[in-house]
Amino acid sequence: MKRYSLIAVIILFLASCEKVIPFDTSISEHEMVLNAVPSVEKQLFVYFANTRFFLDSTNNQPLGGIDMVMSINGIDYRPTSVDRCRYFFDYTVQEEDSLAICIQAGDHTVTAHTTVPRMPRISQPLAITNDTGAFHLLLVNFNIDDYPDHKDYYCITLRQRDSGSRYRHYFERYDTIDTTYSTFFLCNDKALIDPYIATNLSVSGFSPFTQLLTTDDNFNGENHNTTLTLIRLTDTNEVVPYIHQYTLDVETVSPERYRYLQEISTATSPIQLITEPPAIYSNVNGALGIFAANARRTFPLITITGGTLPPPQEQ
Amino acid sequence: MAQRTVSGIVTDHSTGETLIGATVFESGSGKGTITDANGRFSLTLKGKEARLRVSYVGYVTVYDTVPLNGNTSRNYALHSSIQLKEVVVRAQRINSRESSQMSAIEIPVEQLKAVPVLFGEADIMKALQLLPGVQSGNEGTGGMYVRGGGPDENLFLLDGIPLYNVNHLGGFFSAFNADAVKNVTLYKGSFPARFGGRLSSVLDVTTNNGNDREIHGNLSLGFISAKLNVEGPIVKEKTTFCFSARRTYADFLMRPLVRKLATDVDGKTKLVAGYYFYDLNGKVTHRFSDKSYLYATFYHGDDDVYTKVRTESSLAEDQYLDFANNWGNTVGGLRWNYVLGPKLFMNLSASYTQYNNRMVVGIEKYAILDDGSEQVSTVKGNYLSSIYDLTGRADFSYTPTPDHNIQFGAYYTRHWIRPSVASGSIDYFDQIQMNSAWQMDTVIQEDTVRANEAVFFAEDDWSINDVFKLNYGLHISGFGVENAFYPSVQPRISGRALLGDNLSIKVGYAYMSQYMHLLSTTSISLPTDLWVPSTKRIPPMTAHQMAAGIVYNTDIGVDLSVEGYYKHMSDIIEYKDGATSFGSTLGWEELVCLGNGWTYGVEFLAQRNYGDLTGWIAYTWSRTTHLFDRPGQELNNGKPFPAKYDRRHDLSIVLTYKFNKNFDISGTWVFSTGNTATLSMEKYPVASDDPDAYDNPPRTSNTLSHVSSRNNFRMPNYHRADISVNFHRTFNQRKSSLPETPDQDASVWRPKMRRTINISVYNLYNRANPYLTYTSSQYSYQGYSKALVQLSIFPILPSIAYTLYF
Repeated sequence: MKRYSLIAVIILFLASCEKVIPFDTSISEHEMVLNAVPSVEKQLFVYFANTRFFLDSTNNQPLGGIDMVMSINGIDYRPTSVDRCRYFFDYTVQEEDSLAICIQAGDHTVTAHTTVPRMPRISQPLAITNDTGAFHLLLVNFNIDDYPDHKDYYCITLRQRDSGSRYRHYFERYDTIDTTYSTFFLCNDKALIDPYIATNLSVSGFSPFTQLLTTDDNFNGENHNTTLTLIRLTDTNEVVPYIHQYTLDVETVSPERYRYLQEISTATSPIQLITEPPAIYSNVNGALGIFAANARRTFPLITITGGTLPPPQEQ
Repeated sequence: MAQRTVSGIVTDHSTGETLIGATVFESGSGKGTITDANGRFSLTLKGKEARLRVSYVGYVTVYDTVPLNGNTSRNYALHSSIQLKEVVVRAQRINSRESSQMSAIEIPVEQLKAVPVLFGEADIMKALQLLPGVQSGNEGTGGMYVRGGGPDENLFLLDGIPLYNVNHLGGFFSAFNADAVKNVTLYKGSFPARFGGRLSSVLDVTTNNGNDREIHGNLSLGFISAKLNVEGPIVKEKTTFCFSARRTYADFLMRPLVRKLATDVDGKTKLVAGYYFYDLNGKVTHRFSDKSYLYATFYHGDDDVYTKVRTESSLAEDQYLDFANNWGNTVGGLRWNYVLGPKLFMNLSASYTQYNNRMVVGIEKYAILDDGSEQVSTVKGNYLSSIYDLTGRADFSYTPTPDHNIQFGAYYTRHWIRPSVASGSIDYFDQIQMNSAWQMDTVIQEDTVRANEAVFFAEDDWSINDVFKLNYGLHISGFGVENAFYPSVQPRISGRALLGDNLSIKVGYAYMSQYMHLLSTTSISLPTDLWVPSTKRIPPMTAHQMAAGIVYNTDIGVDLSVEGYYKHMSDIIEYKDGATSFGSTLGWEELVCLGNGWTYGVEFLAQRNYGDLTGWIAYTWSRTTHLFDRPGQELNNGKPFPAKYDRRHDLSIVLTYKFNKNFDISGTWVFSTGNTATLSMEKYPVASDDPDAYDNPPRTSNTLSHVSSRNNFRMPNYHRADISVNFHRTFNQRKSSLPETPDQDASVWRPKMRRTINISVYNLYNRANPYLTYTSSQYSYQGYSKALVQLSIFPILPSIAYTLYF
């Protein structure tokens, strides 16, 4: 009891140092946001809305009086439907499409353009797993057949869909690597390591990120073989069952998206708590956001199970 | 008529301590001088005899008649007026009406100690923050922001040796132990040519030489720290020592509490955590003769913070998360002071200064093997930042006539700077496959920069006539680094004109250059702060500063002064938005951008130096703006923005009243405009090629923050009152071997010991001042509402300290 009383006193003492101060919301002004990532073989859509006050938890409202025109390879398209600030076009994105958007919102004009990259040429990855009892080891080997005479930008993502574990809801929702276990994503291929991303690593080659951004600077026009390694340290007392389903995404991205992803990686790093908030790169004239394209190939890799499998869930 | 020179040393009679800044005045000619940092003076005069008046604040003035039939050496030992009548030592401003120096303040340490501060711990830095033109950083911290400059733009000298880190405990305490300090002088502008290397200020701290007759000292127990100061002769009237030590003991006090609160269900300790700092000051002075002194100075200060957390996920095994951080300075120096002639003094010195910051983050996992032995697996990351400087210096002081005092000299510094070294190691033992083990030990990043800095300087303090006085000089420096060389010629000039008996006007100009920079991400001093040098890509920072002022001495004992200044800074550096060197494998040069800044302001000071009521009222109006608009290095979209500590108003009232010899009381009240902060007010979603990623309403985890401009928010105003009461008592009287005053014999009684009980209250009316602000949602019966929350860290804080003087 004494212990809890003492904790309560300490919390009370600390809480007494917190105080809500008057907030002049007029110093905050909304700005327009245009987000679009045209992706090869997917329907084209853009998101267009205002920024929102940081504590605003209401639904997005589309802006009124919008005139939106998308020029695709010189042909103009207009959105065919709007849903929750997403403007859909009746068009499926193709490799090397040239896209330019112009939005007239009252007397405000928003413009941006990008070119869709070609699909990455990736060999079927070979995935090997080994459970030593101390850790899971997942090796993923594949070839990148890089396009010659052209600077290509890649985004390589290892995804883990975790079901059956105590954290499954969390991971199904965010669809990312399980970082609550001691998981390390290694890439010792110096040709792939992007120096910018490396700035955010606490230890070089040991990344808290599942995503690796790189360019073909070190293998332009070559058939480059590389291996990614995922190590998940095992809690020897773990009794909770799990199913880890791994997939590999390899994207070619436009230069704008490459820089955008770089800056998001920086902006969302925990170290940002002690830095000045960074501005995120935008190639949109007259608004925030990004207008950049990608072409993705997805490869299912392997499923790892452990513990006692849960009973089948009812659909 | 031939000119003759009278030279010598002025000391404290009872301790033998040299007195810095004592006035030696010849009443016949009206010529005078003040003693230098070694207590020496030289006065060249005409006539048959000189009628000298030797005075120093808090001491009995000595009158002496010296026949001028040749160059004469005279030493003066002044008696402290405290022994005659218990009075508080008064503050003394050396930029008084008559001095040519402006923007400089000298405050006796006793006065600084009287200012009430946090936890009752006398702190020089925090007392200096109460002066005009000097701002504090965040609440309770010791960072100094002088006339719009950053915390790295201040040169901190401890017996002439630079200190890089002057903060303990995130800046809540400074590295200067007040018990070891004899004299403090702060230059805010119009820097004499002998100083250089920083843009905004010079804090020249001189430590005690030590009593040359008896061993004395004091022992102090405070709220969070204990201090010991001992001084005395090693060889009577020849060799003295002064030693001070200080350590916080909050870690000892907290240990049982942490242990009690953090014991796991299996009885094992779940958390070990603590923090402490300590510092040691030492000085040995040897007098070969009146003409020759040798000084050895040593300082070491260290901060240590450590945590070890037992993770809950593995109860059968022990797994710990470790964090340890250690940072501090070590300096040492030898200085030989020699009188080459009655008009020429010399100082030769060699010094070493070192700053280290080490950090270790790791996981330790203990496993019990089948044979019962324990196996440890570790994953560790190490981080180190350090500076080593080696300096050789020669200073000369030459007084050819009473109208000129010329100081000249040179120094050379070799810098070894390692802004950051990061390394990692893994020693992972496979518990299942006994013969399998992982090991890695690698240095990820290391960049050592070697640099050479050479300086020549000369300055002359010239009394042109009874009205005009001029201090002019040149500071020439060169900094060689990475095949780049940065020469710098820095003119310095300041002058005064006397307008009547009570009024003088002063003007000054100084050009400064700075080769070392502190990269800081936050408003408080953190171990992640990084000292970096100018390099081939990063040129030195420079500043032009102009100042003008009026000094008026009233007849009621109050000195009034007004100073205005303008400073333009070039090539200042700041981190790019979102960048920090901590955890980065990119070189720091990639993470910073270059810009300019300008600051201007007006400072008012009203100061009373004697009487039972002493103190000052200081007010500063200022504005500081930064501009980073160079291509590729823009901050705030290349538009001007207010600096982190741009404040319009700063007001300090410091008063001390002495009721009697046993009781005095001090109080301060400070007010300042709130600090600036950058707040993300707006949010927008992350771009995705998946339409379903655009949730409605958006999830916080899937949004980006938008900042309209840097430092777009100003925190609430800051104000606070502190009070401090001292109860003194002398006891255990004994017969002294020393006369108390010139007219007493050796049979008088004097106190052997005395004690002071200090009771102080920080933040008397419990003002919730902002330490930092953050955004949050507040829930009420009306639902969630918009709110900005302010965190205050120091409510009303009473404290008590006991000091025993022996």
